[in-house]
Amino acid sequence: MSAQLRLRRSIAAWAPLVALAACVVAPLKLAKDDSGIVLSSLSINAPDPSVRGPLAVKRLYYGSGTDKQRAYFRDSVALKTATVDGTKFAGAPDPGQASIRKKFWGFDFAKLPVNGSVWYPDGPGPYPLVLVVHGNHNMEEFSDPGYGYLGELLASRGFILASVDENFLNGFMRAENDARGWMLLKHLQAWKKFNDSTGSPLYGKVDMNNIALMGHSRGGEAVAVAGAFNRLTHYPDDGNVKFDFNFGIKSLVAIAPVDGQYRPMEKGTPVTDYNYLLFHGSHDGDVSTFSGLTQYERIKYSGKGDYFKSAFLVYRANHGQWNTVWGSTDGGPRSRRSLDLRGFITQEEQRKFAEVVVSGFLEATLKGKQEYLPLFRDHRSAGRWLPKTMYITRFQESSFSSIADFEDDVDLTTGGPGVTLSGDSLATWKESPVPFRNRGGNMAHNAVTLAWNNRIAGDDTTKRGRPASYAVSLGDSVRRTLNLDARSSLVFSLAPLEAKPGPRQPAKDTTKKADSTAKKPAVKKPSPPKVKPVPDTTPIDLSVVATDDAGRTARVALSTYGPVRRPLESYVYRRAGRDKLRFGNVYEIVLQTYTIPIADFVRATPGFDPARVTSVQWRFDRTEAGTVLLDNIGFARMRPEFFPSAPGEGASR
Amino acid sequence: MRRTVFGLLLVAASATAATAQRTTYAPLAAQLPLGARAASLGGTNMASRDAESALGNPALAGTGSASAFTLGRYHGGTHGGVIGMTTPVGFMGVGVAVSYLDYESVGTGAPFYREEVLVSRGAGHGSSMAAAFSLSAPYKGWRWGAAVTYLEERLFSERASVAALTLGASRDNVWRGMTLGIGLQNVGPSMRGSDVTFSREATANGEADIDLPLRLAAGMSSFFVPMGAWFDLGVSGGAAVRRDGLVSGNLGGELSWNPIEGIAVGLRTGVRRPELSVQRPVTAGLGLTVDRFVVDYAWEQMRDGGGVHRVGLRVR
Repeated sequence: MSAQLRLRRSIAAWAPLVALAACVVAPLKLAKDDSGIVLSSLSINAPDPSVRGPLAVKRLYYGSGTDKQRAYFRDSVALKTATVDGTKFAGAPDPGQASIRKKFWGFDFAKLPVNGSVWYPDGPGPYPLVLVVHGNHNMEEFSDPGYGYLGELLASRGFILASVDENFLNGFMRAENDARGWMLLKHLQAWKKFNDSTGSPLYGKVDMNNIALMGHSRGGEAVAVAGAFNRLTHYPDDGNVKFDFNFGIKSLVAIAPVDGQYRPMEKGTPVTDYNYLLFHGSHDGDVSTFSGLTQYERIKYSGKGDYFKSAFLVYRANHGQWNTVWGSTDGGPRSRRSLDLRGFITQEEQRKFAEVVVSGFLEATLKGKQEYLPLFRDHRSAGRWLPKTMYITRFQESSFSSIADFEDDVDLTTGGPGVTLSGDSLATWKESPVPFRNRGGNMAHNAVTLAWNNRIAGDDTTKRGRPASYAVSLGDSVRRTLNLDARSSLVFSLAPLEAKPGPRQPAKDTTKKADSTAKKPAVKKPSPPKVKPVPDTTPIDLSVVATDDAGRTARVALSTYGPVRRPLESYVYRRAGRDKLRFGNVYEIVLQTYTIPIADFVRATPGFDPARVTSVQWRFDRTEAGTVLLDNIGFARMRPEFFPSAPGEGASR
Repeated sequence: MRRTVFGLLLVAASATAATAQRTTYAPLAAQLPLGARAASLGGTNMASRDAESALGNPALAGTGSASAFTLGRYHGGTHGGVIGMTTPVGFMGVGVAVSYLDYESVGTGAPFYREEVLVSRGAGHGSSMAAAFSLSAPYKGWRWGAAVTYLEERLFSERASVAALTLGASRDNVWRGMTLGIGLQNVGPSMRGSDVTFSREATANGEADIDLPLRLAAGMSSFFVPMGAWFDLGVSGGAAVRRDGLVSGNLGGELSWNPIEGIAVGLRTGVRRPELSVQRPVTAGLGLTVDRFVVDYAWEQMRDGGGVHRVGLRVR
């Protein structure tokens, strides 16, 4: 047999398999990247927070000193800690698991060790304390060393970072996130002793009034649980368990968190008066929906103290690359079969993002370095620090007063007290829960959906009607309460959707009287041929128009205040069609928060009176047709430091 | 549980001495591998969650929804097939399976000749069938099952048939995630037929009793164990002691290549100590999985140089 014939036969034999593979492997699909434009500037006047600081970094371990699996928690502990009884908070799901776990770890839930790896600056202190905790993973592949890169960075910049060991809560566990959060507070009790004990290498080095808790995945929910437990006197699930924590926790960081695995009294964990940073990857192959947004919505501010919350959807980031142990395969090594890893930003880029935002957040909230605050209001202010990918960001500051959040009633025309809502020429105007990409799930809060098409139906394709609009009108009482002035900002969140309504029907001519006696011939129009809908890629923009009580209007373009993008398609799976099968949408709807300084309206229309704003209108005059979700409309009087330079000077854009 | 396994092994070991003398049982259909996958793994069926479990271990019926259809082509004009279905119904499991064989009793190249078939009147056409309906339910950490089986052997124009009972139990995660299955198969009265057709020896009343292949069997099967990112390895095996003390056994393994979620190509092989003298120890096969569909192929070597090709389709 000739070589050529053999080759042909070989090709023929493999052709069906190759054809099968071509049918089932999805091509790499990514949304068009605009980061080159969006991230082109840097308006923060401060050093890059992801750059190592000047301090030398020291390491130590604390823990039981008896660890069966890890030598560093057995032989290298500088500070010994007592075990804690976690039986009220967690237990093995079945006797078989209990046996496996006891055999592996050498202890059960009655004797949980308080183990941690510490990175701390070589200096006198006191330094703010940051605890970071991993989430669920194979319990035999230890997750806690995976945040060493943050430990090295933060310690060099004057923070103490402890990576908390909760590997013994990993594996096939359910409903244990209260235990994960409670363990963090037990660690803080240990830290108080480290700081107060004269023989301790950490004696006097810890600033116990400036603490941040950071958690990843289930650990991301755990930090919110810990934040709630920190201020409670009793465990919500059992009043016989008393709490006495009250630590000086200022800030919480949730990395790709889950939410709702612990529900005290069947409610989402309520959290008040903490700074909160949340980030999640669009290509997360484990927690594939931006679950932390529900916790983000539940972070409330009482008005006592300055706080803020900020959320980032990081396009092309996955779940595990923020932990060097977890890496790129979100479902374990075998998930290479199912997950499409081709679209990810590199592990280095993903960690660089974490270094920028975590370090900047901690510098701002624990050390008072307010020059980093703009990053969390508008990420474009730190464009050159961030890895080149796309971000959608949410933001709210504690001075924010809501005027319409679409939660309270079923009346489309009412917002908060004294606020009326109105729509004009809209194809869709409805309030409904914001859906998660997971089929059937939603973010447990409402937004208003507004759709428009300014084109008038008919043969004349150039005919346009009055631009559709949606308006919020402020009554006198609410205006007095808001106490607006040139330092105030209009804040709202908005997301364009893919849907595009058909042309608007022409207005009926009411001057012609219908002749009821005339019989019209029944002419049935042929139905138009079905055309496969083509995704609308027209850039979306609109005007935001403010009106004062003298009738002066001031108009600004929304796109000036942040990117206005359609949803970013994120395909998680390798199999063609798998994402559409698994998810309701192949994208997560994340509303982008826009902050428009009132002073910008004054600049747009000289004479505009910022103290007497009577209405704000979203006028759909810059894109012919489209659909948007709009939510969390309100005003804030933020600290001026949130703006790279004082609001009103144009530097906010 | 360990004592149970140990006891079974002890029974198997003690019975080994009796294996020299082979006795003929019927029906043949109750002595052949169930399905192409099982055949390629040496005939293992006591701990495998296959759609044909009603004929194997009824305790495993209904642990998932599955259907399977297998056709087998033997040499010498012999054909067979197995069809099985299983589904959970509430906390219970239901399974139905039928195994059928169409053969020549004697003839050049016929696989089931005189030694396996109770025939004394020369060459003829025969068929064999086992049809079972099973129910299973969990209780105290085990899954228990029972199957009523209709067994039939036809030779020439005569038929012998009987109803029998099979009892089974299974337990998951007995050791490193393995499933254990135990069963007592084909409990029932002997089939009765004319001695001319169903016996090699004439009897006084002209009728012969043909014993069912009653056996006590046990098996274990593993979940697929990952071998790196792209390969899995599964192992299963078992042993059985027939009423005459014959100990049979099998051990099978499958190496599966999984290039993408839902697609797998499996290479299978099995070794066995067969129950029928016509069977040889080595089997092999392939499987192609595309989501819920699996196409299986099995090859079994038979004595006298013949072989069996089985092709099956499973839907999970």
